Amino acid sequence: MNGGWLGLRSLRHRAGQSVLVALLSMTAIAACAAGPMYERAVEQAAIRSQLSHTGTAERGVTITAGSAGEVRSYLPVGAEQALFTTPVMGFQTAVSVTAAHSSFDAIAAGRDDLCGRLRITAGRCPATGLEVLVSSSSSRALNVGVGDRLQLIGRGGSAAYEIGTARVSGLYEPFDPATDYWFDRAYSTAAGVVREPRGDIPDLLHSDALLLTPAGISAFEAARRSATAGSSTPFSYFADLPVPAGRIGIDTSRRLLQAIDAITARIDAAHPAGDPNRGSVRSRLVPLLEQADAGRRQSRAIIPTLAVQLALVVLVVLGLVVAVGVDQRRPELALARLRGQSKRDAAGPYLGEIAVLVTGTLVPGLGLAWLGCWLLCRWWLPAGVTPEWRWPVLLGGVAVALVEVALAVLLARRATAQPIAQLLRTVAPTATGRGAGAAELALAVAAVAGVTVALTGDRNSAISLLTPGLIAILAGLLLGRLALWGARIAGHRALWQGRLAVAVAGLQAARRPSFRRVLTLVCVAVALLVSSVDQWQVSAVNRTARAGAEVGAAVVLDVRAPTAAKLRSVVADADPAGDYAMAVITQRPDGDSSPVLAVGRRRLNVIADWGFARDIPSQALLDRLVPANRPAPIVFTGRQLRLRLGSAQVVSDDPTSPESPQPVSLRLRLRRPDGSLTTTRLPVRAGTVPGTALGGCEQGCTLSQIELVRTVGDFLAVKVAIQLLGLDVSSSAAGSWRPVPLGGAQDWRNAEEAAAAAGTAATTSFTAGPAGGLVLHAVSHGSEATLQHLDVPVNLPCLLAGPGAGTSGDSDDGAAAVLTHGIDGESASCQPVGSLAFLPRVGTGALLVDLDLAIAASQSELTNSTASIWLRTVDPARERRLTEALTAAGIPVSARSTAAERRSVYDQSPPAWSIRAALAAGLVAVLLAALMIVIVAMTSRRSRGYDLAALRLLGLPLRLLRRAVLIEQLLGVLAGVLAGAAVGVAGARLALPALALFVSPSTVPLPSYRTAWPAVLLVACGALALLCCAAVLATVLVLRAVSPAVLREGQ
Amino acid sequence: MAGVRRGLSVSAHGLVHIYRLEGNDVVALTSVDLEVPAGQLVGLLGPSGSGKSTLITLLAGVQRPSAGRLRVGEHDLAVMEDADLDRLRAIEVGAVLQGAVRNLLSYASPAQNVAFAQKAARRLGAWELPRPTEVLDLLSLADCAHHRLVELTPGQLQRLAVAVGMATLPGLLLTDEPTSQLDHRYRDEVLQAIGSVNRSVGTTVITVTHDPEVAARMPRTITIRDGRIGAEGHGGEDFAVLGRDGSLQLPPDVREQIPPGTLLRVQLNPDGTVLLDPRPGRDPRPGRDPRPDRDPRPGRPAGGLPGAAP
Repeated sequence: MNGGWLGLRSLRHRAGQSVLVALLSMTAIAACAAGPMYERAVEQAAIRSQLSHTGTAERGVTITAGSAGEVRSYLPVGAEQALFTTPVMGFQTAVSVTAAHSSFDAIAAGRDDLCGRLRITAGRCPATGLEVLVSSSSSRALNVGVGDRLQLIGRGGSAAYEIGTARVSGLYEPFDPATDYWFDRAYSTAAGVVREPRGDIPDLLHSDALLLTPAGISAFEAARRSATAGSSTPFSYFADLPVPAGRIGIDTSRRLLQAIDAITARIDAAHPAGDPNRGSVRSRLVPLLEQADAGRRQSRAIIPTLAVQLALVVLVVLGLVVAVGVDQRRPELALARLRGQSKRDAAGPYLGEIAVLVTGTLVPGLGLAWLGCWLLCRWWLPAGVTPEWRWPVLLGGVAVALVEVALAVLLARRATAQPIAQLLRTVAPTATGRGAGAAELALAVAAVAGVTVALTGDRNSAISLLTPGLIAILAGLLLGRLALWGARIAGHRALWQGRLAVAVAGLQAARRPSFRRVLTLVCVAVALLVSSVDQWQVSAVNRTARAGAEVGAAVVLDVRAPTAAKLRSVVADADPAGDYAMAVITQRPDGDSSPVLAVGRRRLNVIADWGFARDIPSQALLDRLVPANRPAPIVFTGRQLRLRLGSAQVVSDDPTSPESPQPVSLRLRLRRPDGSLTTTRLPVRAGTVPGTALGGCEQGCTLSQIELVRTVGDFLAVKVAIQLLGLDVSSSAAGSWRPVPLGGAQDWRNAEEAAAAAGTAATTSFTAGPAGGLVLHAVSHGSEATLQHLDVPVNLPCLLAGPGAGTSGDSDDGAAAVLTHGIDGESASCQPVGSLAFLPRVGTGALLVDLDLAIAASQSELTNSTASIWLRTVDPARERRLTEALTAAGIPVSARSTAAERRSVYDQSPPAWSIRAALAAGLVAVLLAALMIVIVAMTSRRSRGYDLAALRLLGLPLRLLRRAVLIEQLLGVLAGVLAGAAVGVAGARLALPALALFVSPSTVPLPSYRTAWPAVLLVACGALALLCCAAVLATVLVLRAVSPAVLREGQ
Repeated sequence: MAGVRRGLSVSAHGLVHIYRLEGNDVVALTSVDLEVPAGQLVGLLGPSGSGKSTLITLLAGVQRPSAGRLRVGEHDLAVMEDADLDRLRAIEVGAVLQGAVRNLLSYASPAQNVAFAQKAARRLGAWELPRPTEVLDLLSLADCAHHRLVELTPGQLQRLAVAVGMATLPGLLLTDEPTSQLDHRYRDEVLQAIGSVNRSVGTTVITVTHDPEVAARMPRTITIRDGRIGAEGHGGEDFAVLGRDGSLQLPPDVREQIPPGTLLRVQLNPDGTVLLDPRPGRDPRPGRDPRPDRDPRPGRPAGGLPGAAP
């Protein structure tokens, strides 16, 4: 007899079970092989994503040297060349250009194959001599055309030199620099010219690049040689080496870095360090790849852990199936032992079958792993990333196959070690629920140890990620034991109460080991799924929150606004309800000063994205940004202004000085409606000071400050007392005068209070005059004394965002004022009135001020400030209308960013990809649990059918037995799902702090680990529904075996 | 036929077997004395739970006796190592379990089943084994050597089970209820086959049966009651067996007449007969007269004692 044929007959005899074992074996092999395969793919994707999110120049390499020939000598050679696309040799230098109608500065640049890459809209490519191409946009902006002559002066290097007259041979269309060829060199713009303000002299104009062919470059070099310009070269010769993001992976990145090192070595060999003519190699690849490495390390920690978890679940399922298979073969094992076979030999045929199945599923399992990874790569990872066959993948698959065989050996040997008499028993032994098996005990001990380490040790260790699985195993084992105990009690109680269906269900469950195993597995699988869904949802919420808080709002439009007041006005007109758009000015001073965010306090809560609701400040806190009892602003309209004074005393405060005080004057600082400032100066003498013309106050001006102005050069210490009886305005010189109320003395305050207290500025104040009006008192040592009307506080109220916001200054108000900058870039101080966790877009260490007050306290220009408009929602129609209104008002939008775009960047990162794998693992685990329920029903239905048939013979109706089986099945599923869901939530809470949500830690906003209850409940219900379906199917399978014929046949 | 062996004798002296059931010790066999010469065909009778199957499992080396001596041929089963017991089952003792299908691999053909039963013997070096078809021929199953089991009749299945037990032509064949669940035709087939094996091979056969008709066909029957040898039958007549310790089990019909606890006067008559005379007195059972039908003549019991014949 051929034992092999007998084995095959046995496999065929139990075809269903053999197929299931094969499927499970295949799944286990696939799970273990897919782990390293997907992890490798994620690592590749991390590099690819990192590089694709950076510019061509950033991920490329630029070699610079003193001549084109030298640059060529440094270029990659041999195998290094394959890492780059074709190098582009280039040349550039700075020139000053004088044309017929304009003068401007420009870059003169040349590149290989220039004319082949340009679209020439007029004229032709430069042919010979000194000919250049001008961009069509510069041509329009600077009134330069084809055929024009340009006088060129070289500016690069240490001295200017004469180049000569170049002819414009053609115009080129502005191009997108973000291509491998142009290498992010922004030689052209849509505007064609950039203006550089230079104060009182005319703005300096910068045109788009003048492009040259080699002939032009030679002309430049010739001019340079004939000139006796400075010592350093004005020319930059370089080679741009683009690195295609799609071609760079883990292995190629190493070779790439080696290639850069080789270039550096060639430069070192040609020019020792310190040589001024030494070339250089520039690349940001090293920091970029280091950043990608951080993501790769995270995926290396997370994905294998998940794969191991899944493989363990699959192996447990496989173990249970093998155990059931061994149980089914007990009669065969008994026969073999009865016929004199040794314990080892008796297990041989079954182990042979398992070996055949496992060996046969090795290749399909690896194929399944590849297919699964390929699908995941297509769905989740950047295009071009595919699974790779590597040794760890094959080793993983083979290792699982060996473990499967070892598992079968263990279980089969354990069975054959039993006495033959026990093997020959026809009634299955009762599950007593006592005496946990050694394997279960070992598993429980490992789980307890793991949880202890996870909770007490390094919370960021990989073992913390195993916490959900470990807790689930513990809970599952415990639940299995408790369930048997509970089922037995419930069964007996129901029996006494006459509820036979429940009694049969409880007692059957209590005597079947598979009930406990299925319960444990369902608990573990549901816990893994719920935990992974919770972690996935929490990480998604955190990604959304961080993206929103970092961008500032759903949409942020960066604009070029002439003044903050105009921007505010346009936005207010476009969104009168104030629930959609918000003007924001961000001042980012140089140095260590804190950035300042100026926003409308009423709109901030509505429009800004704070990430989490917990971080949204109360409106009451934001209202502190504007003092509650500030006086109404002094607003008037007119063309003429006059001052009525009573007495005006200016006396020396220095008895040692023989000098007499010089006359003083008053200067009124006025703010126009558009935010611009104007001043008017009035002499000080008793009586009515004649009218002074006002500029730009026809639409209304606000009096913000009154300054006492000393005569230039007069530094005598003086005491001043000027009685202001009134201020009048008139629409014309001959018109009637209207009084302007100046308010009470308490409405004014020294604008230089802190400095005055330190003795470095004049002291000044208003008091109420004896005959009405105000009396200005001042003590000045030559400096001006300024009284500020308190409709705008001297120190703007501000909220401090996070630690390190602002530098403390002096204040006599109790709380120290903070030195900062106004939105005009001028130094200022603000008075902290509260604190916030952070500010959207600027983060921590920043200050928040009210935009209205910030505008009132600053000059109109926005030096170093960024103007932007934050939009609450993505609403293309409203956004288009707003943009049109902005454009009409002369405020172009320069950039647009959205929270969704930022979110998608975070979605395309290793932590997000890794946690998705957890989701897949959880799903597979639950599917396996459902499969296990069916498998157990299929494999045990004969013995269960025997029991039920016996009950049937005793007179129990089939309907009752049907109910009993269904209750038994559903009981296990329900208990397992409930416990699994609870354990999954708890496990996720423990594991989340260890889970990397981002490549770089999120400090703003701080991560939130709140359980995603809707998702958890939804998934738990879904798992319950799926497993209930499996339970119903199992019930049907078992009931099909209930027939009196079973009793006659025996088991 | 290759590999034919002589029958093995069986000998048990003071055999005791105790097993644990739900925490309690249960005495299955107590002080069993038995001698079966080689080549004998013996029927083992007795009510359910009397210990017949236990005796069979002990003889098959599946269980070990708790006390006493048990020999099969030259082998003392009480002291044999596990490996030696394996070898015994592989070559020298064949066992047929109750229920034909329990002895068979349902997916294998009759020939493969026999070959499976020979596997251990081959591994142990018993090369002179008969071919499976020869064994099947012995049981008149040669024609269906390669049939599927579902194609066999119940009688053929049971004969196949016997063939599997006889796969190595052992010296001792133990069969447990080989004719249960069979109608008369198939029962006769099986009994004929067993008898044929016994005659042609010389194998000692011990068969457990409940069926009196089967027992009647056995040249020797041994009845076990309450874990002891209760009686032996020879040629259709039952005899009480005097134990090595002098104990004697009365037949059931006598025990019905004389309640437990009754004192018997044992009297050996000059003609060699033994008289068991109940002592006059009260029935130990409450409210019962121990001898309601007592013969008024002094010194005579109410009826004869069938088990006390000389």
